[in-house]
Amino acid sequence: MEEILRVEGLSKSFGGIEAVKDVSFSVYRGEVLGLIGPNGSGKTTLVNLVTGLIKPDSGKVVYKGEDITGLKPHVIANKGIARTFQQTKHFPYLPTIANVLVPSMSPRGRRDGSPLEKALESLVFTGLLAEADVPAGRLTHYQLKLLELARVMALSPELVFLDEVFGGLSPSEIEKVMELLEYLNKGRGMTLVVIEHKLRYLMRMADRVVVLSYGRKIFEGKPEEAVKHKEVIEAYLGRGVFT
Amino acid sequence: MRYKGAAAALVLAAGMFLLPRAGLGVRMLNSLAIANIFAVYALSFDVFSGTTLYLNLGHTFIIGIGAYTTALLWRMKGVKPYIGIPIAGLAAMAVGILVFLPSLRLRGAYFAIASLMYPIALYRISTVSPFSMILGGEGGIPVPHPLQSYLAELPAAEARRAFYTTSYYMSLLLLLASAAAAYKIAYSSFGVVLRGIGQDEELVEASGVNTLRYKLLAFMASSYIAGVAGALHVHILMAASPEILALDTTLIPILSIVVLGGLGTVIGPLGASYITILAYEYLWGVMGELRSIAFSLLLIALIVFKPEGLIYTLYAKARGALGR
Repeated sequence: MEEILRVEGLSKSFGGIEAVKDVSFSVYRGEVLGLIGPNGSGKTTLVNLVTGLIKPDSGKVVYKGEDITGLKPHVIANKGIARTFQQTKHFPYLPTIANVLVPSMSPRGRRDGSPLEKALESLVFTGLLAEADVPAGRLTHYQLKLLELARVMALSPELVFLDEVFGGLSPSEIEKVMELLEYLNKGRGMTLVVIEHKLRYLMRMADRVVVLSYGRKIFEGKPEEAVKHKEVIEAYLGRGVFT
Repeated sequence: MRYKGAAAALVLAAGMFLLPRAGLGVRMLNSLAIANIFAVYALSFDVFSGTTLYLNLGHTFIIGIGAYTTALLWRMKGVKPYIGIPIAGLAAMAVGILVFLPSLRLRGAYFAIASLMYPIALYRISTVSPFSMILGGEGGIPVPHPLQSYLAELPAAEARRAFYTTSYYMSLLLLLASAAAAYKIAYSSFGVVLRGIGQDEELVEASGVNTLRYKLLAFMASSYIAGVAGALHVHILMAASPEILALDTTLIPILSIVVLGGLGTVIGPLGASYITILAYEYLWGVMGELRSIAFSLLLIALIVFKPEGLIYTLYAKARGALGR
């Protein structure tokens, strides 16, 4: 399997708190990798480190054989790494279509077709076309999650970090988002790193999982093995479950 | 719909061209010329600050660079205004980039406060020795009217009126050109990115767009327009004085126009400039220096009660009534 991203010994502290501590793993082209762990285990920090929002204290991020550690977020995005935000982000006073126009105006977004066509296409695929001229601030929570995915599509990335895309959604909405993610993965060939609390859904999608706890990697492997792994269970439920 | 808007703009422009023939007095013509200049100031402020929400309180510094550039070129080298004015725009742009590039990395209130220091510093510099020797101190540098040689040939009776009429027309041409440019910038996909920066800059970066590049380009456009307007302004006033940098004579009217018109709308400031400048001129006779206090209060009231801008709200309603 071809490696698309490699994280080597990545560490980041905030004050005295080690948010991410010596984490290494690889992501392979075309897979769906689950990144899981209890609250505060460093998942979002890890995404911020890879996408350039914050700089690591030590360690390396290698994307398609190139060291991208510490590059600016827009440079990294143009290399083909997109992300969504746990607290959904949007431009509240801009129409939905304009929200998607921003990534399609990026150098990478412009590569294939005009920005406007690209933005419209992303709205069609996410089912937001009817809301095209509605200010994004008036969209529902579910629609904002779809908007995040529309923005991802407009950038045509190769690797996508999805930070809790199912957060706050109903089961039927989750099913629809999962369908869309499957399309991005299988239909568009995007490699997905899915950060998720809801293990039930993640287990259905993920080819492999990486488990974090207190900023350290405690497991990497098949999802069905993760749920049997002693340290993983302890991380989620606390010590003493087996005794 | 598009053509309807363009047609309305043309009718409005034609009306503005015919204004001096409507039997207006020279005083009124002068006020209207100043209103045109201030509309350009407000537009140029709006095209950068209204979209990105980086409030450039140092806008009068940029205007001042334009004003003093053409004045110094005239005084030192005898450069004619029609050459000096475009050069003033370029100088304002160049100096603006140099001075603001470091502060463009600041955000929010920090940017606004940092930018406010520039006009205050230049005001001081222009009034203390030895710089006041070059910059003319409080009185400023005397400069000719752009059409001085043409006016000199007219009989004295006609020259006075021609002075104000030509000032009005020149400022109107500058206003129309700037309005077209500002509208093009603010309502294009380029403008979408600028507005995105104003609402969530981190998200624009994460979307693969180099925000510094966009901010800088918008700032350059804003500075060029402001520099040219500042230069034309001093030629109409026939003196480049530090008043053009001052908070009460320049910055407060600009902010009032933008807030009354609607921040980031470009269209709003156009109408708001006439109302504001005419009221400002009128209030001079009524309360003198106190007018800047009255305007500051008005500014606060507008921000509290009509943050989206009075003129833009009226414009949007009118559009709604006309079926878009």
